[in-house]
Amino acid sequence: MRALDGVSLELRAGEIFGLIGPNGAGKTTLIKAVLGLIEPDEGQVRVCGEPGGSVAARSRLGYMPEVAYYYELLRAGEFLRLCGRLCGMRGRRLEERINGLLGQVGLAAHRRMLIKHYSKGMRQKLGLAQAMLHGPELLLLDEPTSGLDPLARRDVRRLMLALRAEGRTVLFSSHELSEVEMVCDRVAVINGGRVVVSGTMEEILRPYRSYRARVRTAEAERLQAACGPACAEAVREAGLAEAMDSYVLVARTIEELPRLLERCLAAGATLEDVDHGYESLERLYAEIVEGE
Amino acid sequence: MRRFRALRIPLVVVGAVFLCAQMSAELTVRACRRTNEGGGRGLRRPRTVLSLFIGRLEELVGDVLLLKADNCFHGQTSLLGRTRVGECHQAHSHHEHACGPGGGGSHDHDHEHCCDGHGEPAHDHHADGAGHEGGGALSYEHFLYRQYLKVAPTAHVHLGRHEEIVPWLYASVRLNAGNERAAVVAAYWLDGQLDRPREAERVLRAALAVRPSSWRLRAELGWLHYNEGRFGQALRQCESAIRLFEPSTDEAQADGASAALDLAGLWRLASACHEQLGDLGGAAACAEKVAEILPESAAARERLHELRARLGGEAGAEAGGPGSSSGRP
Amino acid sequence: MLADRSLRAERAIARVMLIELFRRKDLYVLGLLVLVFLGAAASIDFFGVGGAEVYLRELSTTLTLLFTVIIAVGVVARQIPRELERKTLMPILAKPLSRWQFVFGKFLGAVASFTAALAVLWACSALVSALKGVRLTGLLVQGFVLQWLGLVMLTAFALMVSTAVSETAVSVTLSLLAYFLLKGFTSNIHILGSGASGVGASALALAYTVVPHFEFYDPTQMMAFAPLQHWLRPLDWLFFAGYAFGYAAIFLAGAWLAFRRRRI
Repeated sequence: MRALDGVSLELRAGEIFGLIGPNGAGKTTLIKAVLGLIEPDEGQVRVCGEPGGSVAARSRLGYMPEVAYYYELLRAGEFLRLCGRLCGMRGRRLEERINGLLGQVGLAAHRRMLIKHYSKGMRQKLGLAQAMLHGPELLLLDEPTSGLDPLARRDVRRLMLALRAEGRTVLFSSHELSEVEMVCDRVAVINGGRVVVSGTMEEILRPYRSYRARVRTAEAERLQAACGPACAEAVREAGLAEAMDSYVLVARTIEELPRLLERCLAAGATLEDVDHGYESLERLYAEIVEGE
Repeated sequence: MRRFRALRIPLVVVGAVFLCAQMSAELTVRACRRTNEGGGRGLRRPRTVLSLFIGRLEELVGDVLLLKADNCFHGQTSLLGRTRVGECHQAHSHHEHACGPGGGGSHDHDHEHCCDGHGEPAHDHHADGAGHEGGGALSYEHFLYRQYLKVAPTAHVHLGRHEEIVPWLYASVRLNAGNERAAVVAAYWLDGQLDRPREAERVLRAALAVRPSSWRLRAELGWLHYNEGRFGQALRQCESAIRLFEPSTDEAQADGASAALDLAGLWRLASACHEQLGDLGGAAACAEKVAEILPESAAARERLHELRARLGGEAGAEAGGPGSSSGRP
Repeated sequence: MLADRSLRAERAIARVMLIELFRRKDLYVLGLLVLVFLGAAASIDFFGVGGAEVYLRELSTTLTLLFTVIIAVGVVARQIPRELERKTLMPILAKPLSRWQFVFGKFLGAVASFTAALAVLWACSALVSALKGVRLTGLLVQGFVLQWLGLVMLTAFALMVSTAVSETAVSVTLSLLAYFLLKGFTSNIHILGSGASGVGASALALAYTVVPHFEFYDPTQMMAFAPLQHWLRPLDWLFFAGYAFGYAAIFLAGAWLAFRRRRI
C-alpha cells in the first residue's frame, strides 16, 4: 500500500501553501516525510536546499502537529524553553522570544499552569508558539485551527498572513476549505496518496469560474425558452434561480455573457446586475473526492 | 490516588517477584528443612491477621529468615550463597544445644558454634576459584570472578558479635512460631550466649503452643530450667520429652547413632535433675538408661558408677551408722 | 549553531525528565517508604538485645538498591514507548537534533533521576542508622558509588530494551526480569563452568565473560560484613567504572541503532 504515490510539490519562498484532502489521503505522511520522521522509498526531499530530515533542514523549519500532545507536567514556558534549547537558543534572547510568543498566541495569562490542564485550543496555541519559536523559514502546520473558536481562528489566520509578510513560507493542511480559500496563495488537493490538482486558487478554480447576470421579467416561460436551450453551450447550469421575478443566469466565460444578455433582453427581460466569481473550493473538493 | 498511579507497574512487578520468591522459598525450605513437622499431629497454627491474608507465606518467610540467620552467622547475605558455605558447614556437626551437664563427650560438638564460639577465619578457598582448583588461572573469566569476590567476599568468617543474628531469629520466630528449629536455635543463643533466659523461655513456650508434642522443644525448655536452677520444672519437661521422643526423619540424622545420642542426652538431663533434687536413686536409674543406650561411652559408665557409689554410701550410712561398712560388691 | 551546542540539547532533555520526576512525586513516595521500613526495622526490640548493626546496614542497602532499580528502570523504560504512544515525540524530533542526541539526552535524564533517588534514599538510610547509633564511614561512600555505577549500566540496558519494544509495561517487566536474573545467577555460571568439561565448559565460560555482571554493583555483602574501613583499591575502582561505562556505551549504541530507523 502506497501512502504517497508520485507526489511532487515545490513551495516558493514567502507563500502560504494549503494542503487539503480527505482523511487518510496522505497529508500527514507528506509532512512527516518533509520532517524526516519517515524516509521515502523513492524520491527525495529538500528543505531550503538541505536534504530533508537532516539536522540542518530541521533547523530551518518549524512543525506544529495535528494532535497536540506535549509534556503534561511542564508549564508552557518550560516547554518552550526546552524547544528553544533544542534549536540552539539560550539566555535572554530565548526568554524574550518566549514571552513575546506567549503574548502573541494568547497564553501569557496561563503560563504558570501545567500543560495537562490546558484545553484543546490552548494546546493548539502552544503548538503554534513552539513551531514559531526559533523563527524558521518554513512552517509546517498540521490542522492549525482545529479546535479553535472563531476568534482564535481569525488570530491564527492573521498570524499566517503576518508570517508571509515577513517572507516566511507556510505549508498548512486543513479541512476548513473556507480558511484555505481565505489565506492560501497556492493549494494542492491530495487524495489516495496522489496530488490531484495543485496551483493557485485562480488556476485550479478557473474551470469553475462563473459570470452571473440577474435579470427581471414577468414572462418566465419566454425567458426560459430564449436562454435555456439556446445558451446550452454557454451556460453551465441549466437551472435558473427565481426570486420575485428575478432570475440569475450563469455563463462560463466572459465572451459568452453578452450573447446571453442579448437573448435575455430580446425576451423582454431587464438587466439588474452583473457579477463574476468562483464557485467554492468545496465544489471542487467534492468533485475530486467523490469522483475519484 | 492519581499520585500513586505511577507506582502501579512497579507494584505489579514487585508483586510478581514476591510470588516467585514465595515459590522459590517453598522449594528452598523443603530442600533445607531438617525438622519433622510431625505429620501435623498436635500442630496448632496461630491465626494472626497477617496469616489470614497470606497464609502459609508467613511461615515460609519465617523459615527462610532462619536460613538467613544461619547465613548471617557465617558471613553471608544471600540465601544462594549458603551453598558455598554449606560445604564447609557439612564438615561440622552443627548442633546448637548448650553444653549441658556431663560435658561434651556425649555427642560431637561443633566447636565453631558452641560454647566459647571461637572461630578463626577459615581459609577462603573460594577466593582462589570455584571448585578449589587453586589460584593459578589468569583467564578473563577468573579475573572477573576475582573482581566479584572483592565486593562480595565469600570468606567463611563467623560474626564476632552474636547480637547480629538476633534480628533474623526474632523475625523468624515471630513469623513462624511453630518452627521448631528456629525456636531451639533462638533459645540457645538467647539463653546460652546472650543471657536472656526469660526471652528464651517465651520463645520456647510460644513454639510449644503450636507444637505441644515436640520433644525437642521440651528438651530445650528443660535445659533452660536446669540452667536457671528450676530442677523440678526441668525434670517435668525432660520426662515429657522422653515420652514424646521419636527419632528425627532428617536424612542427615537418619542413622541410629544420632537418635541414640539425642535420647541419651534426655536421660542424662533427667539424671542430673534427680541428683539436684536429692533423688540419687532416680538419678542412678536414669544414668543406667544412658549406659544402656551408649554402652561404649566411658563417661556414661563412670557417671553410673559414681552415682551407685554415692547411693551405696548413703544407704550404708543410713543402715549402720558410723563405723559400719557396707557397699555394693 | 550546531557546533556550539555541546550537549545543550541533551541536557535540556535530561532537565525535563528530572522536572517530571519531581512533579510526579514518585521520589517522595519511595523516600517515605524507605523511611517507614527502616524506621520500623530500627525501632523493633529484638528480645531486648541491642547493638545489632549488620542487619540495619544490610536492610538499608537492599532497600536502597531495590527502590533505585525500580526508579531507574521505571523512569527510563517507559520514556520512548510512552512518547511513541502519546505522539509527544513528533514535535521534539522535528527540532534540529539527531536521534543519538535524543537517546543520549534520555539516558542523561535517567541518570540524573536515579542519582537524585539514590541520594535521597541513602540520606534516609544514613539518618535512620545515625539515630540507631550504627557506625557509617567509608563504606557508605563506596556503597553509594558502586550502586550508582551499576545503575548507569542498568539504565542503558533498559533504554536499549525500550527502543526495541513498543509497550511500556513489557519494556519495564523485561528489563527488571533480566536484571534480577542476571544479578542472581551470573556468579553461579562460573561455579557451574568449573565443574563442567569440553564444549559445556567453554560455553559457560563464554557466557560468563559476555553477560553483563550486575552483581558487581551490589554492595550488600560488603556493607554488611566488611570492616568499617574497608576500601577498594584505585585499580579496582578503575575496573568497576570502566566495566560499567563500557557496557553502558554498548547498550546505548544498541539503543541508538534500534531507534535510528524507527518510523515515528
